[in-house]
Amino acid sequence: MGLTKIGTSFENLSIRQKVLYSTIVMFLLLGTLSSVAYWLIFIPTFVDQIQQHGKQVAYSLVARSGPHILTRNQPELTFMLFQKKRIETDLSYIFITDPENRILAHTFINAVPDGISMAHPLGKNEDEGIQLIHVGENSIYDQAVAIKEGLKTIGIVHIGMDKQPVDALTTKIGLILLAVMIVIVILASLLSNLVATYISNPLSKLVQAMNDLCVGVIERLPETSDSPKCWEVLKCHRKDCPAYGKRDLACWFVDGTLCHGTAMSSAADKLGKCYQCKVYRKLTNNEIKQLSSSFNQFILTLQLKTREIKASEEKYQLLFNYDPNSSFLIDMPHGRVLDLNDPALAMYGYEKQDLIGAPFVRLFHEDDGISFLKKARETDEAYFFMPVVRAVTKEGRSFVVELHARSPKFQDSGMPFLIVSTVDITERLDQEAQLIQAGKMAILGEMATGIAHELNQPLSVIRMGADFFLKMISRRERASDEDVATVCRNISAQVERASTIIDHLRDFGRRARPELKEVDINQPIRDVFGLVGEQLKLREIVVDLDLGEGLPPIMADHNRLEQIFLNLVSNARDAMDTKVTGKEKRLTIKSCTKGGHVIASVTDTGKGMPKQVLEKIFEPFYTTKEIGKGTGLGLSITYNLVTKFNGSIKAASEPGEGTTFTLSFPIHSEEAIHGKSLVDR
Amino acid sequence: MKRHPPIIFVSSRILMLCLLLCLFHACDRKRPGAGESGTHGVTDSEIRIGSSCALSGHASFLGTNTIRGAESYIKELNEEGGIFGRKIRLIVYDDRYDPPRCVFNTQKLINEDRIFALFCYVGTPTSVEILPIVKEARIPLVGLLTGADALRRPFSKYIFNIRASYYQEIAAMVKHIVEDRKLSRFAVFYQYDAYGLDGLAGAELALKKYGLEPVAHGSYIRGTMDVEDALKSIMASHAEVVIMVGTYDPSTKFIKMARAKGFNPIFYNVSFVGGNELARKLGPDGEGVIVTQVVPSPEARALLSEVDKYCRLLEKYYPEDQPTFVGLEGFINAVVLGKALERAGRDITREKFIRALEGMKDLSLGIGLGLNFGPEDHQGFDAVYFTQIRDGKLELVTAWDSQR
Repeated sequence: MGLTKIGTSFENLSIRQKVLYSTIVMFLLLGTLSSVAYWLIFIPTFVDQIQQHGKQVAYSLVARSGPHILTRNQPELTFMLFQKKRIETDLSYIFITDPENRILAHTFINAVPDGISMAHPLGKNEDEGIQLIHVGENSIYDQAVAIKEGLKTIGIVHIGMDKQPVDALTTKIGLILLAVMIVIVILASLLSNLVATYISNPLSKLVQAMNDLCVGVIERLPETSDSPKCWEVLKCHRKDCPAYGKRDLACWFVDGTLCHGTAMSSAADKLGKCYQCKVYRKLTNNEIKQLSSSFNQFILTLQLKTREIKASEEKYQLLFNYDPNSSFLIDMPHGRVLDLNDPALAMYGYEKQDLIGAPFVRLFHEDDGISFLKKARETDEAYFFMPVVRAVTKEGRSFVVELHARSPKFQDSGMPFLIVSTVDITERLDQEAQLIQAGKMAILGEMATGIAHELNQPLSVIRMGADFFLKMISRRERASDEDVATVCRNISAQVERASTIIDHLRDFGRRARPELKEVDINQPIRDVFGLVGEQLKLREIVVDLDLGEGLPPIMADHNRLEQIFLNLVSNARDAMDTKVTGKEKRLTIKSCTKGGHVIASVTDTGKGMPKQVLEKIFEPFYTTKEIGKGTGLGLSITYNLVTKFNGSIKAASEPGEGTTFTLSFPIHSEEAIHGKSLVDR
Repeated sequence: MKRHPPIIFVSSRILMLCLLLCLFHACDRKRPGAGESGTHGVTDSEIRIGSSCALSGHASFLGTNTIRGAESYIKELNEEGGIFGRKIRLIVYDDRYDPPRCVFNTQKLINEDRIFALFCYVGTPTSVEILPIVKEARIPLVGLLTGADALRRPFSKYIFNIRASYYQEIAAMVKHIVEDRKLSRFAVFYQYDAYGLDGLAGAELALKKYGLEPVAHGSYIRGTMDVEDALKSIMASHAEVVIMVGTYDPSTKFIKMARAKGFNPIFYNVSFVGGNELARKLGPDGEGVIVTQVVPSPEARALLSEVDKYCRLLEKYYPEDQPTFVGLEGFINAVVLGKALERAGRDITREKFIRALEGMKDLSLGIGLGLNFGPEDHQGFDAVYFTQIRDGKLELVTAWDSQR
């Protein structure tokens, strides 16, 4: 546990501290070891040496003291001891006793310590011995040697070796060792500090440069020393070599150098060879210089790449801004504006700083914004499209755009985002609306005769009633009240019918505001026949309505649907006009549900179309009719309208057999309501 | 990167602190005891003073006369009431001019008699041996009857020399002979021990001043009378002057034999020879022998009050004795001791005693000269007196005209 913690702490130290602490610890260990060696080996040896010396002194006295002891010549003995002690200054005392431990001579000056003669008596059979005795506060090694005359002990020499000077000396040596150790540790610390500084300073500079790099300051390290110049090292004079004379770029990073064996290869390929080259090796001796050099090279490359990226970015910025459509970069899922181009600013009337970081939906009507976000968040598609979105400028002016959104799948791009492009379609919508209106009018024009027929019938009935009344008046007859009432009711009913037709016409022709509602598709179909049923009858066209009951609603506009069907019916009528005799004219209209869609088909038994015509029928201004008879816009508008209701229209035809238009609309469900609130205006 | 000098700083400080603590600890353990200079040898009634000198044997004249001279003064002092009521008790052991005995005596004086100070040691070889003991025991030693250089240099805090050194004596003599008598052939006859060798060195140094060297030297062993070889080699050198550094017996024999052989240079002796005894033993052969002295002549009673006092007291306490130069020296030593003990005050300690001695400046002792000691100067007198044996008596030389 603890070790791991120390390891982690050590790991977190700077190089300087690591070197410093390692050195100190190393030297402290060394010091501890030498101290242990000192205490375990030196001191005992030293003490032993001193004791050996004491023994020698004692024996030399033994040899000389015999005669004086025998003659009991105390002055000579004393003098001898003093003289010995004068030479052996380390001795704390010398004294000689008789075998009964009575002092004969001694070197004590002030007083003989009490009991010293008995402090270390020799045993009967002992010739020598050493013992630590205590005299006052002093500890003294007492070396005793017996003085013999033959086998008989005639005296004992005692040599006192003060333990304290020995201790003092060993302490002194220990202190000197310690002091030397401290000096060494301090010197080593200073030295290691220097070394660490030598290592860490360039590293710090590198780290600094790296940090600068992180905040976008791309700068090279100052050249600390001249990096090797290949033309100087190799004594090369090939001035056409790309590396020649390049001072800021090491030759091994230069593509296509001409040095031996590596001609014209790219830097990446030849680097392996360069590692063997003596130019490179000039630098490898110093890894830090190497690192600095590589770093500088890296910076150089980075600067180059940065320039390229910048140029590219400028290019794409131009593209971005020159796009006439408004383009936005939106981050997901928050839906904030990351970037937008100049046309977008112009279109929405904002300043750039107003919008960067602002919610993108601010640019739209609330409902449309919500539905955009919902779609953007839910879709898995790389692309989605919203045909009609109500946008709002800063001043609050509304306009309509169509919205294209792409979520590019960039590699490594962490944040999902959307590229949104909006196109102002207000004008186009206006034109479309006019076109639709024109188409409507055209249809009306085309149907005018039919409608006239339609109106003729009630008018005839009314006229008949009027004639009846005139006839009665001229006959001076008086019609029964019941008859009058019947006629009046008929007239009234016909007026009602005519006015319905007229109202219908007026409604149809009106530039109605389109409203998406749940619509039963059968209703507009029936209404169409209210307008043109009579006419078809006149043209002997059998109308076969096969409408499914209880069909689910679709999301559409009744008026527009009516226009669609009116158009198709009108085309069918025309197709069956030029009738081959003997063939039945039959217009079949079916409606049913199929796979989540409501299907409606309009089939005629007309002349049909060849395939090449069929391919073009939905194109605007394409017509097979005589000049002046058709606008060429009818089916185009129909196609447009169907598409706007999220529907589809297909045509199938067999020349001479007839044509079938099949329309398909998605069944309206609750979910669909949110996805699309408005498709037209 | 962050810098971390404080770490080095702190760690080195801690180490230094450890080192200092260790040092203090080591200092604490300095050996205890060893130096209570206290008031050993001083009681309410007495002050014990120890001495070891030759009271018997071949140099007994020197020791006996010195001690009697000193005792004359001390006895008188004690009779007069002592010093602050304390009597001075002089304990003297006989060392027979034998260094081992002197050492043994000194140890006994310090160890057993617990004397306050050492006093009046006689002779160089003996005194030299006790120097280490004196130093270790830190006991003052006042008044040595020797002029050896070894007792003067190196300086010792505890040794107080009252008389002039042999170097001074010999230098004065050499000066006189070279300058006044214009002689240059010097030979040295010396006792082969610390005393004689010191004299030899003194002679060589003194001659060196004049670019001279001894033409010959001969020696004898202390305690013997074997002077023949020395005489032979000195006679062979035809020396005009023989500087003699010995004791009276061998010196007497040397001079007598020389005269017998018709060798009659100037015989010059240093003070330690014991001039009075030499003159007595030489008899007629002593005529003209020169002896330098470090105290005035005891003959000069009429002139110097203290000399008169010496003669008086000697007569009082040792009626059978004659005044001698050595005796006077012992007396003067006792006077210095007495004055120093007095000056040290009632609460006397060895340190106070030493300070009292060192405080003596130009102290008049009634011998016509001032005594000077100082903290770095333990040489009391520098005076050298020339005496010559005439008619068997030592006479103070005041003028050299009447010389032969």
